[in-house]
Amino acid sequence: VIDLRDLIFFFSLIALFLTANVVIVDLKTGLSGCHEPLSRRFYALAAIALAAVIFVALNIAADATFTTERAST
Amino acid sequence: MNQVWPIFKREFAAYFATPLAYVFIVIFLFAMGAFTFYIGHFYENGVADLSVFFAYHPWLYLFLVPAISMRLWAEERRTGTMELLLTLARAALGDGAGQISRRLGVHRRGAGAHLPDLDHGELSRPSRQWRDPGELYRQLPDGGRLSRHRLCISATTNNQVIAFVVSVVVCFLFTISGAPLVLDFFRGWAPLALVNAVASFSFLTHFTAISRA
Repeated sequence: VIDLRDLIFFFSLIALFLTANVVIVDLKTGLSGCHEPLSRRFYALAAIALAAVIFVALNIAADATFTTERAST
Repeated sequence: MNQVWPIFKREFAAYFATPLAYVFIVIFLFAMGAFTFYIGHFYENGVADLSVFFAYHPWLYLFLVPAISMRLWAEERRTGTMELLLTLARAALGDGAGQISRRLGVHRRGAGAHLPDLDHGELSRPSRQWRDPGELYRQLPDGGRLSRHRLCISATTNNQVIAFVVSVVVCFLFTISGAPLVLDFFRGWAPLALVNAVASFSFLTHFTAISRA
């Protein structure tokens, strides 16, 4: 039996760093469409921070949800 | 997937066009053999499971996977093929996924090469677990998340050595975040929820649970 929390952790971590990778490559090559360097950096940092927050929240929620279900059964 | 496949083929062939992939596969096989049979005392334990085999995987990946992945984007920039890649009609997500798939392909070849080692030996009648091909693929989530770190960090710098060192440090921090040393530091001042959150982000915790399954 594979715990769903572990799968959520690994796949969300993969998604987080893949997102960060895409954002960084866009930032370095200027594909994002925004021409101001400062704005590009700000939006890139904001995107990575948002992805990190989603990653943390998803894992905490999954941990709480599935741990409760397991304890109640 | 149409975007990923050509990049995967090109990068995968480039690995095996040079001795790089073969060198890594040989190092991986020797290291895993040494860790499992000599340091882990696999035969002396007398237990027909692969827990000893999997126990050393995260620590080996900590150094081997950054060494493979440090050149992913940095090499594209150095050789000037980055501009060629990014001006083609493809999304950056496809590039990233192609790079990752290629690296996982090399990784999977190394893991699959362990199969003959496990088919004979002192334990001549392997249990069903030994024959289960899923055993080999359970390590792939671990290799997958490692390669995403390296890919991302490789994109941030032109220097491969810096990419390697930063990757190792980041993954080491993720790995030991569940260790008592780190948790004791947080227990002194942080609420219990934060301590539990830090502990739940440890690679070792999740990898041990999956390998046990």
